[in-house]
Amino acid sequence: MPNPTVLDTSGVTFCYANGPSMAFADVALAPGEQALLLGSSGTGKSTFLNLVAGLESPHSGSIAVNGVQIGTLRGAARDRFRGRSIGMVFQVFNLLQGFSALENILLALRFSGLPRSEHRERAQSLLTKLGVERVDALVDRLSVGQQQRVAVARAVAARPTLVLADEPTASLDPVNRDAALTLLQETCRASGAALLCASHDPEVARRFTTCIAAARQGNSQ
Amino acid sequence: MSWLSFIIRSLRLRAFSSCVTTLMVGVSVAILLVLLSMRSSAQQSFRRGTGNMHLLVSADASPLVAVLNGVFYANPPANPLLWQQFQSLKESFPWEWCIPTQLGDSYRGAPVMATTTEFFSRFQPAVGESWQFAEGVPFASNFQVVAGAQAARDFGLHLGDRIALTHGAWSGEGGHEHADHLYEVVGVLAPTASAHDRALFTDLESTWIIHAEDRAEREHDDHVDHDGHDHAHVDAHDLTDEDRKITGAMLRLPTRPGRDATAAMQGQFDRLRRDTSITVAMPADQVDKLFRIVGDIDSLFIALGIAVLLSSSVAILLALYNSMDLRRRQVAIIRVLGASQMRVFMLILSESALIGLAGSAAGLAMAHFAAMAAADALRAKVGLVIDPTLEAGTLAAVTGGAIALACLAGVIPAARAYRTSVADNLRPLG
Repeated sequence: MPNPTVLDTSGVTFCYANGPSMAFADVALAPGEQALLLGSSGTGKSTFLNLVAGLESPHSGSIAVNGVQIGTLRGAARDRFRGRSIGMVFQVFNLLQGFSALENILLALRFSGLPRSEHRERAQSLLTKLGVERVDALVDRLSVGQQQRVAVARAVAARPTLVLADEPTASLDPVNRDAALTLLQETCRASGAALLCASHDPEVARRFTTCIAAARQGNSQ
Repeated sequence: MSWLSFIIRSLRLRAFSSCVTTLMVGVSVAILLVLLSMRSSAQQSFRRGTGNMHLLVSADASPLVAVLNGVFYANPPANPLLWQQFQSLKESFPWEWCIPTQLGDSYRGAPVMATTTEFFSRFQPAVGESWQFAEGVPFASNFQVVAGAQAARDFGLHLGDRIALTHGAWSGEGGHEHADHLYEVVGVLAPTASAHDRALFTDLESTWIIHAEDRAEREHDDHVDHDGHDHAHVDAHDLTDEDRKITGAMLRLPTRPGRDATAAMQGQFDRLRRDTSITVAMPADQVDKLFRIVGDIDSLFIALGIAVLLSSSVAILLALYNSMDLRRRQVAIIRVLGASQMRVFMLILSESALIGLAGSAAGLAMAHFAAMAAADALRAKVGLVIDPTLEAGTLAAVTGGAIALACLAGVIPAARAYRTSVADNLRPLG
């Protein structure tokens, strides 16, 4: 029987060394569902996304992605699972500087588990679909809008079931913010991936039907 | 995208630093290879050149000079031996053979040795290896010449060519050309990987004749008005004892199969040394002596080469270690995409190994050209003909060592990359 949820977290807490303890709201996302993780700066939105991605380990609680308790995976297995199941988009894009748009996507596909023979074709078609015009240009020579498209393409390249977006519009003006959100949401919808987007911006909240307060005090839906 | 492409692209992002460190590895590999190749080739060439002679007699200042001049053609010997001295020497013991040699003439800077045909039939340029003729035959009459392999190649000499020899001028400049007597090339020797390859060989009598003519002309000029006279003409029967001079004699004691001639050789050496008008050398001993003299310098150069190789490894370490400050985000990104810590470790280590590999390849190329240049210089300056090639084992040891050191140098930067915090390095800067 297929797992009905892509993401299921409960009772997750985390504490940085010499920092305050953070308790996070429980989150459940169905396949293809899109939700916003809302909270002001310092409420731990980025930390929660890192916990979901397996980049940090929670002090307590459980995080299941596609039914797999990510905390039970160790080392390379966790990294491999992330590469195949989770895509990430960042505020500063975090593209590999000095590499072309195409190479950034091809590198993500290295960890996808998809057949190598399909990588180049998939990368090319994704970039074309998302309107990246110069696929062989170095990403540092692309406009901010084009870089954003490459970042979104990379997040969905491996056909993940879950895309995590950390303040993807924080550095954009309102016009570009709307365009970027549209691109992200429509791309996830088209690829069938669930989307969990972290933002402190109330304007972004209007784009989501499901909003979750990052801190455990309560959920608003 | 293959990992090799990723590594090469990463290195190209730091092109200057990558090139400098690669060049450092290349230079250190080249230094080591050239030193090792020159050492082994020079030793081999020195040992080959003395061939199967047991003793060398000349009028040079010391036994070492006698060997350097008489076997390796370093300089024309300054003092001659009289023919009577050679005859006495020859008759003083039942030698297996006793071959006279006369050095002093040259052809376009290459030394010319005047000798007898026994030089080709009895003397072996390397023990157990007789002369081989690539073309033609040994000289059989006056004014014929046989060219060594290198000399024939350098000057494009072929059978039937007629050449004029020069008195002196081993450096290739000056000298008096014996233009009245052209020598016909009748033979070209096969290579022997010894100093003899760059020499030419002719018969003693021809050499004596042209020098007798020179002497007669000088005497004539001293007494008669220069205008209108013909050149002096000398035949073999006109030669006097004063004309019959040589500069050395190669000797071999009679030996029996399986019997060591060392004791007898030492005995004859001691006996001949009592004659203070000649210098006696055991060529093999002199070559060993030469290696003992240069041995310490040789070891010092090898040690310096290894030190340069080690310092190039430190340069790789520093270049990669310093680059890690700038590359923490790159490491964090590929970790987010799914690369494991071990994968990141191996990528950095592979970068280091690739620098070592590229440096070794560059070093091999540099060493090839440097060794050729050094071999040319040795041949021109010292008369030592060497083949600067290295055994596969030495090549593998030096290049493998360079790559291993490069890998070792990459361990610390790779460990730093391994420990890079992903979450901390994905945040916006500032």
